[in-house]
Amino acid sequence: MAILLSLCLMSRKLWIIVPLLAVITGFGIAAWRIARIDKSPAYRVYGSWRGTTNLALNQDDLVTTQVTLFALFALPSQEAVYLFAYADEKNKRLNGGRSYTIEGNIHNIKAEYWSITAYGRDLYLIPNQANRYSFNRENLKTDSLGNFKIVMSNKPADGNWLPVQKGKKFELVLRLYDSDKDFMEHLDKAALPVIKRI
Amino acid sequence: MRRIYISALLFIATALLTQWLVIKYVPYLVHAIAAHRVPQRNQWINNDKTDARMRRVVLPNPDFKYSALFYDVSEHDITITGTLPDSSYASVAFYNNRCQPYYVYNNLSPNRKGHFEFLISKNAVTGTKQLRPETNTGVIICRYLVKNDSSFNIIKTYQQQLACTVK
Repeated sequence: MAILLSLCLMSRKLWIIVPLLAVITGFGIAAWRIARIDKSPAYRVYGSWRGTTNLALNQDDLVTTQVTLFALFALPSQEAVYLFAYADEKNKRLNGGRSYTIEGNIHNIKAEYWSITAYGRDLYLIPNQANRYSFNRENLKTDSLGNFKIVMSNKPADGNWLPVQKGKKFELVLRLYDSDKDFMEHLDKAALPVIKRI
Repeated sequence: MRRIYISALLFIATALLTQWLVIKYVPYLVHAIAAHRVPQRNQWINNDKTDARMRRVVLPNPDFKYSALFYDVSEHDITITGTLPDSSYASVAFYNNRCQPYYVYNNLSPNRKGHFEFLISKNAVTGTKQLRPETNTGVIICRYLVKNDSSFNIIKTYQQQLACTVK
């Protein structure tokens, strides 16, 4: 930056270089602000998960752009809530080179429909031969009390196996549709599934 | 010295204006790109199974089958009709040309009926369930939850019932 500034001051074409640098800086500031989605005042941390329960129909410009780029055509919060997980319970980034479990109880998630889906860093589904991308309350194998354990690994595992790609970072989305109102209002106290490294 | 002050002011003003424009207009740009990729207007597009090959929209839900309609009511009104299943979640969401949802209809509320009909018109019309779009162009997305493999074909029949009539 200092070199560019020096070039600017020395250059006789200041009136071209200054606006050009300013436009580049403007793009940089915009990208930086858009990328700081987790710094939004509406963003909260709920155990292993983070997100907002307050995504309204008409947001300010910054939130609109963030949602457009990171969750295009998302539904408003009164319809669906999206919670994201990027790290395990020790706050280490989720990585397909390692194996993890997601442990919880289906009775603790009070929503008409909910699911846990794995995505690559490009925000698309992770290709795998089993064609398994997510688990929901319908297809999850549980014990008699409703406890479940999902194994995330690049190698096949018994039970609820969610494949991830070796050596590639990934993230999880917990979707909650038509959630119980009281559950949503006290989501910070809810026993949401916990992500543990094996 | 005066030249440096003016340059600095010009730099700050241009940078701030640029970042404001980028944040304001990126959603319009994303919608324009999405609309450009789908040339059909006022026609439903029914997607097949959602899997890793679906790379048009980020964060696709593999439990859903999607139908989409890019609408344009700048010259003609349109009526969309369809049926949502009773047994599993389904919704119709209306988005403006900034990719922002402005109305969502689903089958979960007890007073909702499975069959739906919406007239999408810029002009006020009486006697019909009308939705006045915020912008002349936008997207309507139908989401159908596919509970298991056996319900896949059932959902497909619901998708095929979706219709759009240009007035």
